[in-house]
Amino acid sequence: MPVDVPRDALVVRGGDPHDPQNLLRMLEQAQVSHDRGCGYALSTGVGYDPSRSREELIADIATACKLPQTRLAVTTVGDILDNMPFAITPDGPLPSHANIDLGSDLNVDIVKQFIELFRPAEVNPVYQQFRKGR
Amino acid sequence: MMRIDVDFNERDGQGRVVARVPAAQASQLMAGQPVNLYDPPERLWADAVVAGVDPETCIVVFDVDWHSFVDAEVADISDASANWSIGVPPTEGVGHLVNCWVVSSTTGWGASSRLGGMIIVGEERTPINVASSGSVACLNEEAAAR
Repeated sequence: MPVDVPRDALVVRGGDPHDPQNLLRMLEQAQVSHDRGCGYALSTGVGYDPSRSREELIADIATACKLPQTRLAVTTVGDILDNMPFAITPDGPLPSHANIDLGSDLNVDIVKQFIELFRPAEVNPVYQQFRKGR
Repeated sequence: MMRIDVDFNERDGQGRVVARVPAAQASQLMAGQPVNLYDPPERLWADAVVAGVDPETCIVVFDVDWHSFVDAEVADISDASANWSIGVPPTEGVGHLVNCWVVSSTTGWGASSRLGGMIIVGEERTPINVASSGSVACLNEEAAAR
């Protein structure tokens, strides 16, 4: 991992990755990432700030990474790294967009493994800031 | 304006939304073109501009207006001359149809098309009659007053 990220840093993905509609979409998105030369990867937001509560940190990540979805799902960097072959690559200083590298072989089981890392979806505390007229 | 289905999660290094679109759509897109983006599972609608198109892979990059999001159900219908998307805000649907909209997703159609139809929300059936102006049509006054 090129950027040193604490294991208890939060990893957030917009929407509900457990929604059955998302399995094939995420498989296709990982393929698109590969076709763009970025490897088989899926987008997330990652953040770490021990001075912030979990709720505040989720709000910080969703704001910085522009997550407009009504719901979001959360896991930790530690959970990501404990599941080979996954790796996380933040774009810059946290909070930041981060690609989760799914490894060199893409298949449905790998995407399911990625999805299972996330806890059940919860309300995005800042979704309203992206709504028209706000 | 063309509607394109995306997942707003998928970004490039500059935070722009990335999606592979059907070849028929990719061939009609060019940088700078305004489009509507829709995320079906999230029922989210937003305005965007095409930032780039790769005609070989049909992968398109979009600059999104991050303050244009609307929660909306979208249904597709078509007739002989046009394809249409009808949006209904899910949180305001029953009895609040004034915020419905109709958008053509077909380019190059005549400027004076009209569309009549029925919006069905639960057991409520509300007739609509829309008149188009350019590519975006509005509900007529009768429907808007409901």
